[in-house]
Amino acid sequence: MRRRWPPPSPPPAPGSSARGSDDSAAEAAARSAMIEANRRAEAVRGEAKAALLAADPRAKTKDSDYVFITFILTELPHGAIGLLVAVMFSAALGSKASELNALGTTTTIDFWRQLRPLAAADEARNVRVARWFTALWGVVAVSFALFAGFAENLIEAINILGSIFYGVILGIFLVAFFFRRVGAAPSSRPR
Amino acid sequence: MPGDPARFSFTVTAPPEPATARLGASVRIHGARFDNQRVEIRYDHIPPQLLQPAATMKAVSLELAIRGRHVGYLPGAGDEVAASLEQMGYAVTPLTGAALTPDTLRTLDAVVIGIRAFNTRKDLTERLPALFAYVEGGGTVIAQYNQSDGLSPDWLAPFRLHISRDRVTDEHAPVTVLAPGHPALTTPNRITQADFEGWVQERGLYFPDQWDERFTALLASGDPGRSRSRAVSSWRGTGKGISSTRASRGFASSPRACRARIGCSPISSPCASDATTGGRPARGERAAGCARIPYLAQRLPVRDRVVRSPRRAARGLLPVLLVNLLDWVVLLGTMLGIATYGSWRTRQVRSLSTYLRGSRSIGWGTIGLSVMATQASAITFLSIPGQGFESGIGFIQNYFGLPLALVIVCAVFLPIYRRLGVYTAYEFLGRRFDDKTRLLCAGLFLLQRGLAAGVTIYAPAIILSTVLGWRLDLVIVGSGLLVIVYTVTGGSQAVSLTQKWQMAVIFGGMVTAAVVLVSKLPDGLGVTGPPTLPAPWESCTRSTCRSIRPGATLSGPASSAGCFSRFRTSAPTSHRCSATSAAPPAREPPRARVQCNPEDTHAVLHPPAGRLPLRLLPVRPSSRVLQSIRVAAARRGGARRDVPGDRGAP
Repeated sequence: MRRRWPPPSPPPAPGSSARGSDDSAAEAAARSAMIEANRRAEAVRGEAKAALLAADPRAKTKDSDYVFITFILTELPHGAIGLLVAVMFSAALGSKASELNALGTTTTIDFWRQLRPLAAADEARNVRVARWFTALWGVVAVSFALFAGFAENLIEAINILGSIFYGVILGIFLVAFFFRRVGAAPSSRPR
Repeated sequence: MPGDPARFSFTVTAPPEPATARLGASVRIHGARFDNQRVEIRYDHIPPQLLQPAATMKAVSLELAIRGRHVGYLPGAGDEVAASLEQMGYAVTPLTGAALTPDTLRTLDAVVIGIRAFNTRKDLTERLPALFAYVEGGGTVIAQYNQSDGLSPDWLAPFRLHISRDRVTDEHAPVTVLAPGHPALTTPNRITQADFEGWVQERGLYFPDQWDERFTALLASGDPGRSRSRAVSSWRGTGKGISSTRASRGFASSPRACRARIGCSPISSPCASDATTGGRPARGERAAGCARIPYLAQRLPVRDRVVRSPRRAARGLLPVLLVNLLDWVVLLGTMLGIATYGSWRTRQVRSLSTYLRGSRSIGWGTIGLSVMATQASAITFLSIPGQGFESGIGFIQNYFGLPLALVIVCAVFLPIYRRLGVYTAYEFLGRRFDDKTRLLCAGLFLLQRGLAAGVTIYAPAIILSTVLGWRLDLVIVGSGLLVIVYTVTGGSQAVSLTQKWQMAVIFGGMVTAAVVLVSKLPDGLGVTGPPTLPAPWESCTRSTCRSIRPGATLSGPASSAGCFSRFRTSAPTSHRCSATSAAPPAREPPRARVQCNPEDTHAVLHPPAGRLPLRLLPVRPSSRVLQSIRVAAARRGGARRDVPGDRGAP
């Protein structure tokens, strides 16, 4: 028999009967019982986290990421567990695929074709190059994932660094789309 | 009080004859038995490790002859010889290099030099002449192993002794006694082949390879398959008592197998609990074989060996939680099927435009699903429910802007891109401004997304591998290769094709989860409406609170579970269960509501969780700890299951 874990905030048995009873006093009592039980469950969680931190000050005590997967593993029938794990992987692969495609496209179009304009005519070669770039980014992603545990801070730093430029890029695009004239020398205008 | 540590002292009387026993500790809480200990490994150069091996200790009753009473101990890189010596009955004087004066040495029967003392101590070499003079005068010096780096062969001993980097890595390698009658191997305790049984990690290392002829080679050993034994320990007799200089690996000539250096880290301290059984230092005292598994588990930084206990392989959380064959079929079937379908359907993409942008014949529905699949990462499904669990679903309003943004993108940006026929937004920038702007923005994009690309795979992989007990690197490489294969083969077209089917899987899974979730809601909360039958135990076994009809007998099975056992087994003042009568609901018989304290749930988390679930490091012990938590939870659940025996009581 499978069990819930972590223990959920207890659904009070008196409450369920209270709801059907049309008894406002019972309902209030049940409500406060539930709030109280929930508070205690939170207290236990806090205690567990404190214990974790005592054991390892660098510990990360965010456990909520595990709620859904634990529900899946403990409550769903076999077969459905596989399906839900497939959901996780589908979502991961889906966004990963788009990402690789976008990275490969940008590398091919904006860098390779820009730097080798003469190659643009050879269609087969272009496709081959795009494939190679896509594969390259895939390998980069996998190796980064393998070492992400060690490079956690690096990734964080990159995100911070990158977010500095978000505003700049947004500005460039806004200007490109919504301004008819800009001060620099525009090579052509979309309209 | 619950939660307080308790200490119990007892005396074990050793039997007169040599014997080996295993002392275990176990405690019974709520009917659940806890019999593992907590071992903490904490060094600066590795993440803290917490292990929970079985709480057993080996006790050895042995015949041990002791010669002399006072031993000086000069610490090196760290070992527990001093403690072992004291257990044997020696008076141990801690020494420093400066203390190696003739006056001090005169009071000592022997001096033991800690492991790698010649490598770590700066104050040793200048005092060596005093030590050598002490040996010359009949004293005994026992040096444990040192590393050859930077050591002069002339420092270690009165005579030349050159240390190699040779090691014998097979812990079962046969050991040949080269000088059976030598006093070092016979007095006061005899070293026999039995002393070389049950070693761990390796036979020894840093054996001398050249030595002065005045040394005697005592022992030899070699890895199987090697042409000849190549390990020797050295000993020197002066004829006046025994004086020795053994610069080789300490355990190469003494049976302290557990003093194995493990890996190349300070983790390799000697086995602690063996020290408590009367450990023998470097002098050839007799020893029974060391118990190894607990030590290995305690000391080894190597993940796989740490987490695998002999009886229970570290796979997943609980046997019942493991995904079974059916799950594997569904998982691999859908994932591989979709990937194969995607790459097979698009295997003949020849034009760059189709490869990068997809064909213009792709329907709007596919594109829409593709956008959804791109937006929804695995973290969406793993973390967002947790966020809702943590703080309610108010954060959903953040997503309200998303459709709006997509509408704006479709209405404003896409028509322009499409009219210009560009591949990327940066190409548009290039036409609108110049190549510098284009390259800057494209470069920033590549930097940002390219370097963050690993996270898309890593973040879900760490959670799934932790919970399911799969190897993290295999999950990453497996899913990464899968996506690379079809993305590279079919480009954009394969991406949207596969995404369409992946979205179908996602929707199917979400609907399944929702149906199960709603059907499992407690009575009165779900779609089933208020309960028709009062079934207090049914709803209570799933919660930390329970309802019991008044008059129910609390002895018998029920009293062995949950807070009642706390009530029964501990002092009345310490139980924290309170029985209060709730307002009796109208159509129900009155009940007493017995609320268990948070401590009741505490047992679920006991033994304390060491490694965190969410530690973003690819180390396996996290799953191990989760496992032990789970086991505790399951045991508790098992105890609870006894409860319905009380159901007929009212």
